[in-house]
Amino acid sequence: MILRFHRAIIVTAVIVLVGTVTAGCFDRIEIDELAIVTSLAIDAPDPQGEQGQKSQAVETDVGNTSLTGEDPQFVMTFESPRPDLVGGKRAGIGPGGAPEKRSVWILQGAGTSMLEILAGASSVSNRVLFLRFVTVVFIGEDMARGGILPVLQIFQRTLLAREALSVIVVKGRAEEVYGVIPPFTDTLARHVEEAVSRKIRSGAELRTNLLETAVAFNSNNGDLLLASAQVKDGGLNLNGAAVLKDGRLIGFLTPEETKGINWARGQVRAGTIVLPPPSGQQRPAVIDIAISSSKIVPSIQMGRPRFTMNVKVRGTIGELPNNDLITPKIIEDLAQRASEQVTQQVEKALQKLQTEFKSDALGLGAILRQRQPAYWSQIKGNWDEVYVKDAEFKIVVDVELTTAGLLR
Amino acid sequence: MKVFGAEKLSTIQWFIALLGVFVEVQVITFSAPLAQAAGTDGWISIILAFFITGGGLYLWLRLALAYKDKFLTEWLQDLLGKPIALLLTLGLLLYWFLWIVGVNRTYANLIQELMLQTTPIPVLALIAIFTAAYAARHGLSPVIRLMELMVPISIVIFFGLLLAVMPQVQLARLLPVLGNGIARPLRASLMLSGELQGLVAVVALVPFLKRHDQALKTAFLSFGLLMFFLVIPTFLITIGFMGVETTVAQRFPLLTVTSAVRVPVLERLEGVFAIGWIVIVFLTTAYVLYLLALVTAAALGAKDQRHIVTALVPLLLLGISLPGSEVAIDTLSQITAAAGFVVIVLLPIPLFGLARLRGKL
Repeated sequence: MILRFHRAIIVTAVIVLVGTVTAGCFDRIEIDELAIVTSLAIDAPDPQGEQGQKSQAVETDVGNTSLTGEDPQFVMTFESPRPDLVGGKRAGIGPGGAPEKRSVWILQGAGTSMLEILAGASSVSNRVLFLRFVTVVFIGEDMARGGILPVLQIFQRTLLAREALSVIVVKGRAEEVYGVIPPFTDTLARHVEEAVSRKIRSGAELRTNLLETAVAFNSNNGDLLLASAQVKDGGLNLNGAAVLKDGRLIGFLTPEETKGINWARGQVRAGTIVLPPPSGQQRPAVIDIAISSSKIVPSIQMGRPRFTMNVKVRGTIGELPNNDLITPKIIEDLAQRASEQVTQQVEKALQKLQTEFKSDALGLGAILRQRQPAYWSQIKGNWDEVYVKDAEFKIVVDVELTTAGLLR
Repeated sequence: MKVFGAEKLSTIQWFIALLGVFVEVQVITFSAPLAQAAGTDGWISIILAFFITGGGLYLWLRLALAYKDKFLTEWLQDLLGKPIALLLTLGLLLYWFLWIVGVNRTYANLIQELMLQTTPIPVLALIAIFTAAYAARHGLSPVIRLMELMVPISIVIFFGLLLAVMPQVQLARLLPVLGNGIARPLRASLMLSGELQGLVAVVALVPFLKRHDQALKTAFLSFGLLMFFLVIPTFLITIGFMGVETTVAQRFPLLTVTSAVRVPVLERLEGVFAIGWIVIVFLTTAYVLYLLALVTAAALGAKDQRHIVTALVPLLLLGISLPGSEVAIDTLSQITAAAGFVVIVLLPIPLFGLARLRGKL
């Protein structure tokens, strides 16, 4: 009887102990204690700005909180949706249909390290900044020119943000993106996410996530391409590409050059090929792209690396300059002209990367290492030089036009 | 000794139990050290490790089947005499103890990094150890029944995730094959052989089998399926997704891969992955805890394993809490892997030779 009583006490004690300490309460934070950050911008300090002053570039709800006061290295701007205003109804409608109040809270801080800024943000926010739902990171041009390694490090090592988040380099200052009011969404993060993930695009954009960025950075010695954006006329243009060498931004590709790169990577999934009108005609012919693919084959010719890019494009005839009935000759002629145009776009983009930027952002060195290991072992020590001086490109484009819509 | 709560295992139960014990914590981590040791040729190391450890498994199973009605401690005594058998049993117990400590420390670390940053390691370990101890106290049958239920679900989750990742995999990242010769993958295969720690643990199940004639065939079917359809694809997909350079920098490479994939209906794919993986860790823990207690009880001549399970819980918690840093955990796993190589590959050779000399085989 006494033994049973003791056993009951022990069992009860164990249940209470286990129930108390294993319930995960050490990390209990209620959702209304969190400021969920959906996107953030990282800039180098503005050389023309005055630290500790409210940012001129974007209207923040809280002043520019200079957390160290001395020699800040980073300026971070956070976008956090305000639950009471998300959805638009309670934000009210102002002149021109714009909401009276923004449904996000913009917080900005500067400091010598990004973790320090995050820690210091608690001094101006009654809520803990929660970064696991960040879907977009904007990196300012100056910051990217200084190197993106700190950004990769902090997100991969510490912040536990998802590896699928988009990484975008902004021409100019990244904080300026928060001056853009998205037309259909509450947050800029959602706007960008929907824009980059939709299938119908022009083919002149890149989509780069955190892990892809880290992979390209690690396997190409910091030579890589990142998506780029620019604030223009109150909107956010998500096209073009940022070119990095040794992990530092060295320039941008125009949308057309980016399309050339996307052809070479087989990444054009939509968009158009506009063929200039032949002499005597006013309007161009337009080909609607359905899909493209590419295969890069390296070979060694006379001791020099040659990269043959076999690009295949499938599309339909979208617009014609006249009302002629479609004939096999017209189709063949259009396909031929389209092939030439794609070839030119690819050549132009590759030449810019090779001669102007001297960046192997396409990862050709890695392809050579994979496919021509014997040659690679001879030149790997001076690949940078071989790439710039000796690498040759052969572009083979095959355009197939499958239909001409409902008209013959 | 009375074996509490053990009923005879059917061939299918044996097959599933083997899968449950073979698939363990390393499935989430092994790609990083393997890529570091073998580069892109890690998959060759896995094939080599299959044959190296397969040899060890074959010898262990032949020995256990030669004494099919005796428990591990009993037939070791028959073969080696009491003092040496006791010493060897102590060595095996220490090895299994280190293994279970390593498995649960990795589990606790991952949960801490992923979800519960401020929760202390002992508390995180307590959750798995207490639940496993509850199952282990009730004997082999509940553990095996739990495996029957959960192992297929976990394996389906693994395969589902690997399929979800496939479209973003570039298998060209695995080229060139044997670009640096065979020596590097061969060395890595020896390292990997020590990591397959579940192999010897299953030998202890032999006396509980209904049909001993199918034991060897089923064991190799289970082991082969695991190596060729789970371990090799996991490595290929991880490297094909991230390349060697990024993979070696990850603590939990497979988790990193799943966190980079977007699927329309799931907010965080790695959460689904973690569910399957946690179940596997729990099952491994429950089985090895049962085995530890059973062998200890047999060695001590105890009535049954139940009180030993209870006594082991604080010891395990202490062991799991002791490593203070990643360096200490790495050292622990290196020690366990080295011991694993001795136990899995080297030890059965003299035991098998001795058994043949004594006419047992």
